[in-house]
Amino acid sequence: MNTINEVIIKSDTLSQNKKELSIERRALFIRRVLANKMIVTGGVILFFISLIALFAPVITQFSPYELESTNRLKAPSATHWFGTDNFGRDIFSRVVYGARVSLVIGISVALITAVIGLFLGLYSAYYRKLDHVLMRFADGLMAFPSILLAIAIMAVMGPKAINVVIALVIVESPVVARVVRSAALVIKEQTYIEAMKAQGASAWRIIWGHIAPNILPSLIVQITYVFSVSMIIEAALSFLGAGIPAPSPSWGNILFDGKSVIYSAWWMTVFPGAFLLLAVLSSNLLGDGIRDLLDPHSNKANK
Amino acid sequence: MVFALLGISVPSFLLGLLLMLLFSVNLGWLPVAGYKPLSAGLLIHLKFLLLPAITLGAIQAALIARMTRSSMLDILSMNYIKTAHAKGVKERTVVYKHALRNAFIPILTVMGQTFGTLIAGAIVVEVVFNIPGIGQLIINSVSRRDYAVIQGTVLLIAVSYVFVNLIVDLLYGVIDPRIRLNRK
Repeated sequence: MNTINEVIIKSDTLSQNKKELSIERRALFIRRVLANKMIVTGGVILFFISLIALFAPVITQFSPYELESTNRLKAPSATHWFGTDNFGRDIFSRVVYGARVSLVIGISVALITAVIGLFLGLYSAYYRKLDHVLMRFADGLMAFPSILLAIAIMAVMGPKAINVVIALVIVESPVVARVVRSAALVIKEQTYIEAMKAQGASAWRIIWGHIAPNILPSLIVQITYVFSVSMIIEAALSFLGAGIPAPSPSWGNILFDGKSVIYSAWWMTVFPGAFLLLAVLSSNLLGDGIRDLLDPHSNKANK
Repeated sequence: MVFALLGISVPSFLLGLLLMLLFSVNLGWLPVAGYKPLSAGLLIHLKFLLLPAITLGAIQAALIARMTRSSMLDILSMNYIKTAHAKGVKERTVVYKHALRNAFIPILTVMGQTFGTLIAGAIVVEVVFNIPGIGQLIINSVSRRDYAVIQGTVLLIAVSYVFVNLIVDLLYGVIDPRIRLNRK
């Protein structure tokens, strides 16, 4: 009787120790995240831009579509913080609402490519026959310059926000699938996967239970890059007139409108440009920071 | 590090617009956009090409500079460089003849790959600067669904990309005799 009680007490303290350890580990992880300047800077800027985008109707006094023909091309002032464009629309509202477009497109492309890339990458790493087919297909898509491919897809489908997302998903998924596949191939050759197979584990369990969690770090890093690249390509597409259709505000659209009046209205180029640059820079910072955090080797290689 | 990150983050068309704003609009040194053929005079021709060239090339130049730096650092720490110094070879000869030549292979590889990036970048930059080049031809033919022209231009770009990389491969042998294939 005594011994059983002792065992129970022991296991109690053991589970308590485990709990403490996991709390300690989490605290250590949070400390490491906060010590990483790149993650903090990138995260704070991105958070700030998302806040602006989220509360766009509260922050802006004017509608991004409101035409004031008497106020055409006004320089930045107290009422129009970023000035007005060649139709008399408030640039600040347009930039803020443009942030919505860019962020929504960036986030949805990042999430969809993450899912598609994860599926294709994992299964082509696990089944070699599928690999030959899928990866040649991916090679074909990646052979085109990404902007050119996106333009071609947009030309076929027509300029619409949802089509921009579809085009970007088609352009970016092969890249993500590649990264997932190469990471998964390394995991797949490990001895413990072999042991799982020998025990008769199903392919589903090996792929999702054991390979997928281990490639998650490289997927997360890649996804932050997809996020920033899709914001760049969306802006470029809108700038070329193949992205978000004209009256809707988007950073690329404002830059395109600004180009024709670049002599008289510098504010139409500088402000949306600054926002685009900040958004892309901060998500790249975030990505680099996460990579350094998750992969100690890259720390030295980059300095 | 920060500079390189900034270089990756600036979309080329935005860099072009900002350069245009600074050098053409504010300082008035260069024409805003457009293109003049060589027959209009070499200086005028180059004036119109300067900004687009900087827009396209600046980021790639930064990448090549980083590659050169790391490659040169590897080579300069080798023993034969120390020997050359000890022999009393001039510093310039050591750096350019002994080190750079051996460090050049990875740099050359990056330069070859850059060509593809430049072509893709040219598509957007040509629109920014209103240059009637192959990039604008592609965009126009895509929006008009002129498939023959799209096929032709994409084929031309692909062939020239392969050709540039062939030249890069051949240059490996010129720079480093150890790589020459049919050495007897």
